Amino acid sequence: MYYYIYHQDVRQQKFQKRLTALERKVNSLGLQGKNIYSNSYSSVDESLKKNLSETTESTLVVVGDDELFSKTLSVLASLSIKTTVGYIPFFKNTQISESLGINCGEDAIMTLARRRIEKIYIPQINDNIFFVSHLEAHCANLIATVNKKYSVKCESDSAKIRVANMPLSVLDKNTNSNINPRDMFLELVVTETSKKGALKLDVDTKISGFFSCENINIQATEQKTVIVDGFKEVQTPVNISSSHRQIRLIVGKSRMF
Amino acid sequence: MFKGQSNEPLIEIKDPETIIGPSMSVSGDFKGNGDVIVDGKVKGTLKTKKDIHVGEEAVISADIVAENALIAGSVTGKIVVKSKLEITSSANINGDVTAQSIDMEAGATINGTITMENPSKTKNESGDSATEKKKDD
Repeated sequence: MYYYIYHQDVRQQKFQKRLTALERKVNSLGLQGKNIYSNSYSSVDESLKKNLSETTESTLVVVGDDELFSKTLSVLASLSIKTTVGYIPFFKNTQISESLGINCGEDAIMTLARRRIEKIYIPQINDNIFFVSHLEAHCANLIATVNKKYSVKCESDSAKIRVANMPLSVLDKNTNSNINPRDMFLELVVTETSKKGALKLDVDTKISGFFSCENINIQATEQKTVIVDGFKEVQTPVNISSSHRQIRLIVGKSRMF
Repeated sequence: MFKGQSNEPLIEIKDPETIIGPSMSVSGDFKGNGDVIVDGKVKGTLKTKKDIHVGEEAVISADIVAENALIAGSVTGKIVVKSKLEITSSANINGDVTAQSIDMEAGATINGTITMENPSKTKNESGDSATEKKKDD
């Protein structure tokens, strides 16, 4: 049984033509199922509980953006619902879909039909928040303790610290950085950016630190905000660890892991 | 025999598991399974099952254990390398060094005892005449 959870903006009039084409393609491949419309990100939790709790084998397809995808996976991890998850990125600039090797729009339906499946681990923060791709913060005044064995500090205030479960950017792809959500390790990545070129318009990003970890504690001399999966905010101190929760994901051939 | 003759380091790291960049400082008990590149500061212990590359700007106050190592920076502590140790001219080592084979450039400073272990194996595999024990100030 297929379930489709839609981003609230997908039903806007301006996207009607695209949505119709997408649904036509879904039907032509025999992948049609029940549609779930969440009114907001906060209602994803309730929608999934209501629709999936009694289902044993199902495929849940997220139609929308990275935020809805991440929210859906973190809810599934917390509920331990057994389902395979697909992703149809409906909007542009979806980094997670790029990492999963899924193109925007109708191409994603072909990926869905091929059902190439990878199991990924969903790590957790402070034992109660699950995340999918990464969390990020500015390095200033931060100390990260890795595996309860050693601490890492960056002396550059312009640097950013990222705890990655999934490779997201071209930077990750080109550095062979071994970020892989199929393993139980998290990667602590410190990057520094500098402006280059005559007009200083181009931004050059380089990796200053890279550590493979099982758990990480991030503390700050004064409370700081950490951004989870690009949208959720949590305050320091944070304990991040790999969990045993796995989710089956439908991925594309060109995935980054 | 010496790196200076070819300009190519004997120990190269292409896909490091850990990078400690120039602006990074690490303190505590670091243990890795893969290759490590250090260009920053390290205090404590630094152990890996594979190779370590200590860059010119690196400042290490730690005992180092690795399979192979290239030292170009400053190290205060014991260095134990199971196979090859390459020491460049910019290296400044304060501590005892143990390795199966050592390749050292002129200009490097070592204050400590150099011990070369398993010389027979080294001689058979690489042809290096590594059967020596010396103290170099």
